[in-house]
Amino acid sequence: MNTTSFELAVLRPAPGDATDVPVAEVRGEVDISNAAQLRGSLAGLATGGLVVDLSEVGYFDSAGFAVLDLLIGEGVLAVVVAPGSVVRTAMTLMDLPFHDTVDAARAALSRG
Amino acid sequence: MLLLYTDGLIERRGEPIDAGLAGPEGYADDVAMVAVRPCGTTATSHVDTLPAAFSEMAAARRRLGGWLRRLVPDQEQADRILLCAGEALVNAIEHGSDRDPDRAVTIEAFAEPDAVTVSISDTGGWAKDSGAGRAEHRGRGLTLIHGLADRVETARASQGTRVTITCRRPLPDSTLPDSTGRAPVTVQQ
Repeated sequence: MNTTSFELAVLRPAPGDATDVPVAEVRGEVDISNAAQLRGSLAGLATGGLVVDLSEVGYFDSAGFAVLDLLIGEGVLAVVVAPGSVVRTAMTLMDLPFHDTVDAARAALSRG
Repeated sequence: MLLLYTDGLIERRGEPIDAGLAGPEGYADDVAMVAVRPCGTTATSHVDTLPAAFSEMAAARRRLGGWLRRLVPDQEQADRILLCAGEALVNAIEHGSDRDPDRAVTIEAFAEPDAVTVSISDTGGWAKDSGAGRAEHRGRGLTLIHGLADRVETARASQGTRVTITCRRPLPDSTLPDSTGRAPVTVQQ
C-alpha cells in the first residue's frame, strides 16, 4: 500500500456478557492523512467503552494521539501499549494515560 | 543539486555563448532545463526527495525506515528516529510547503558513530497557522520531536526551513576506550 493505512482487528465480547468491552487492535500506520478515518472507526466502536491496543501498531504519530486524546477525554477509551515502545514514550510526552495489558485497560474502563 | 540546460538558455545570436543568459529580446533557441537533486542510500547516508503531499509520506517513511532498521539494531530507537522524522515531515509539507505537491521536501539522514541525524528541508517560509485547531496539532508534533530527539535545530532562510534532528545512539562495541583510558568522545548538547 503506497498511502498510509491501518487495520482494526476487533475482539468483541461474548454475547450476553454485559461487563466486557470490545478490544480493537490497531495494525499498520496512522498519520495525519488517515487519522480522521481512525476517529470514525473508533468512535463507532467506543459507545459503551473500548480498549485500543497499540502493541502491534507499525507507526502512530501525533495525529493519531490527538484522536485518542479526544476519546479518552470522553471517558470511552483505554489504551494498551507495548513496554519499551516508542508509542509508550510518546503517550507519556502527550500526557495521555495508558496500560500495560488489555486486562488493566478493561479494569480502568469499568472503574469509570 | 545538479542543473542541466540546453545552450538555448544562454545563447544569444551574434554574441559569444559565454555572454550569459538571454537578454530583453528573448531566447534565440529552444530552452530545456533539467534540475536533478541526488537521491540515494548508502550504509551511512540516506537522501530522499518527495512531493509535498501527505499521500507521499508513507512511502518516504518506508524508505527511511528501511535504512534506519539496517543501521540501528534497537527497534525502539529506530522507531523513535522515524517518528521524529515523520512529525518533521508533516510540518514541512503542511507549513513549509502549503501542501503543494509541485514543491519538494527533502530528507537527508546521516549516520555518525554515536548519533543519527535527520534533516528535513522545505522550500518556503512557515505560514501563520490559521485557526486554533491547526496550532494545537502542530504543537503536539513539536512536543513529540523535542521530547524524543536529543537535539533539534531549526534553520530558517528565505529559501526554506531545515529542521535537523539528532538522536544519539550507543557506540559500536568495537569502540572501546583507548590505551590511555580515555572514553570515546560524545556529542555535546
